[in-house]
Amino acid sequence: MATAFDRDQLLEAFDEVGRAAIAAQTRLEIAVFGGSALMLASNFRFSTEDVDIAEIGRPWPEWLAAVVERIGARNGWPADWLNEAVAFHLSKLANPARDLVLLGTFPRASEQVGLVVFVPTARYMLALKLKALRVADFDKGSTDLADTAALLRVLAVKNVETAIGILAEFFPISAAHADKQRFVLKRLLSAESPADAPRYPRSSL
Amino acid sequence: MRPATLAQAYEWIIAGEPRDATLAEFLDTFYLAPTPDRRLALLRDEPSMTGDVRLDALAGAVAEYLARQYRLAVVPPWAFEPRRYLDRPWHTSPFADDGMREYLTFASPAEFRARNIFTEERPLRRARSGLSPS
Repeated sequence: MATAFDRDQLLEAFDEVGRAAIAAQTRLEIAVFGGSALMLASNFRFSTEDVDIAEIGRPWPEWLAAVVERIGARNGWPADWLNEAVAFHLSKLANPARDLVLLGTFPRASEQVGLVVFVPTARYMLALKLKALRVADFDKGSTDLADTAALLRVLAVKNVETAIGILAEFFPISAAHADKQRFVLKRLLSAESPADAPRYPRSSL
Repeated sequence: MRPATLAQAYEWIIAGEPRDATLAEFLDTFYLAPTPDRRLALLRDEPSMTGDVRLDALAGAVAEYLARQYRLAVVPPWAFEPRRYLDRPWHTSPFADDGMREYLTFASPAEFRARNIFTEERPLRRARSGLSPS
């Protein structure tokens, strides 16, 4: 069976990582990207298959490797459910102080903090989505298109050039060769908006 | 848990698992495989026929494309069976738009185009593929 975990499972996993950090007398800060960031901080994405985080340096401390392995084994998740593969795809022009926002601290409902989790702003998230945009319906293209459409609405983007401008802020080379993105944006922006209002990032855990 | 081979991914799809998520998880298995021999082993067994001619042709395209992208020793022979080719074009975008169809017709890699499958220029991308999207 394919892996999929939901928001509650992931928040519980973060609680456990936070408790392990406290036990190790340290504090870990991570930035979460991709589908997991949307699942945690939006009202329009409900599952993901893994958790993409920005690079935190290798080797991981022993306590972190142990707790990640323990959580994965218990839930039947892949050993690399928490992974840094996305780091290669992030923007070198992003400024953490401006382009990341605090999602929360873990464990929740605790005065002690072991884990601090950030997610990208809607602007940065849209740029990442546009850069990596897939359109094939066998290839998660439908998910990418739905996420992109929701982020356009969150940011009140009404035209193609504004969206390409946001892409260019973070990925100028991709923005200079964005034929596919222009096709997709034209279609998404001309589609009738659903009645519900997408939100991202939301601050309440 | 991820499918251990392309054939197993297709077994899961036939059993009702979601197509895109299962294929994505197989791709992670493939991209994380440590050696070319291991990668080839993941493609060697022929996936079962699904009854969906598009999906059956897609398996051939995926196997040939991955084998060539990663310069594996061979392309699994089953990928060239006639049933791994479509008679009619399949443009893999949800948009039935002339501009998008034209884009996909020109962008599609040869392994897909030869099977009448028209998709984007770099399909099957995952963060773990180590290949940066353009």
